[in-house]
Amino acid sequence: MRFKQFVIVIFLFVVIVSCEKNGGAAAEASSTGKGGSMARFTIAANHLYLADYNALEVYDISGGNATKKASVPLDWGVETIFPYKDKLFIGSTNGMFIYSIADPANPVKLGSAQHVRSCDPVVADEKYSYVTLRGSGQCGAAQDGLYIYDIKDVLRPKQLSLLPLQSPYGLGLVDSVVFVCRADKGLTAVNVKDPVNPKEMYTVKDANFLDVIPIDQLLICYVLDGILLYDASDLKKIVKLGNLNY
Amino acid sequence: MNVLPNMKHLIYFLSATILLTSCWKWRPTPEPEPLPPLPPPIKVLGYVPVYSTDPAAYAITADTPRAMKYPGKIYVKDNLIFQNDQGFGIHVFDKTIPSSPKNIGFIKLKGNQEMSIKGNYLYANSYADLVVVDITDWLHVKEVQRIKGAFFQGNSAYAKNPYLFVPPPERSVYYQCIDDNKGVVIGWKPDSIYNNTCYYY
Repeated sequence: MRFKQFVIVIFLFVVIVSCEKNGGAAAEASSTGKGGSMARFTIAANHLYLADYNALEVYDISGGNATKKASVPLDWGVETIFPYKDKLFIGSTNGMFIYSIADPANPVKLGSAQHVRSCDPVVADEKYSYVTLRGSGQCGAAQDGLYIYDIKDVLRPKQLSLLPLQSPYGLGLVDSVVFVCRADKGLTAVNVKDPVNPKEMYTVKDANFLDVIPIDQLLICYVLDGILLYDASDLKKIVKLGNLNY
Repeated sequence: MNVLPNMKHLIYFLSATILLTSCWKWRPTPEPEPLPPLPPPIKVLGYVPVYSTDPAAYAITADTPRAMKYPGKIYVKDNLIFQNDQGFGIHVFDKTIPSSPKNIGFIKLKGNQEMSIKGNYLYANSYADLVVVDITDWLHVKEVQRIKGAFFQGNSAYAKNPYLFVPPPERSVYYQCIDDNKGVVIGWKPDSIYNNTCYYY
């Protein structure tokens, strides 16, 4: 009887402790907003990270004010930054770079994947990173499309697939669907459940799409002449909810 | 019989000689044509920057909602959507009812392109400065910190065009290159300029 009680107490203790931990993380996460895939600023672990043209600037913002912590030199042509858990994914005209922020004030380079010069926002999840490359004019010579990288070995990202898509801009990831904004070609949903064989699901042509933020079962789209909101609770069929026209 | 091996050798020798010398030019190569001279610059309709040295250009204040002029990057937090109006500030929209989002305010922030928010603090750029803005009270936002020259420092060494904190009103146009010594750019005006100048892709 005593042993059983002991086990129950230990079990409850573990449950309570882990719930508190989760609660803590959720609280921090909800006090930070969410940016698009083309952002140069991002906040993670109480630090502000700026993707400058050829450097990653790090500021401690735990007290509200910003205190400079580090300036990490990067290859030139840096354009975008995307946080995922304890990593930062940086998109530049020359490639995608992965940095560890396990020590938030001290980003450490993990792996990188070079590509032909192009404009490239990147988003990522636990195992894969998704990059749209757009080669045109100022951007460069790459083939337009959605590129998927295996990042399980984070020191050596490996390209798994390329889905050719014309004029891709920003992108957003929800579960196993990547929404690719394609300017006047619309917004294309791509099924990436099998990352080796990404499949186009459908394209919505309501506007000229530049970037998208998926959040709380909604898609918030930055379109050329306004903002469009979609209900994305059913990823197989997004429903236009409202718009803000300028 | 003795003649044959010699003939073979002779044939080999001749073939080798012909092959090797086929690469030689029997006539002197002409000098390469000089490149044609660049066409003289012509006047085109472009933009010239409007400068200001008034510190009021850096003032960060809340303002009434207004129409977007140069849509830029978006950011979402709780029930609000923020959108950068490139070079001019940040519009604030309320998405509590997603089927009818509302334009509720504007934060005047010249030279702005980027933003990120944590708690009640907005972290943004004001030209090349990093600014921290207290947004607890929407009607009275307050700049609480400014770090001058925080970024876009390396770009002039590598970029073909310097980073445009306040970009020209349209793309695919020539513009008079920015002279930082004249102040900060607060706007652009159309003008007839020579096309041997900066270009906004």
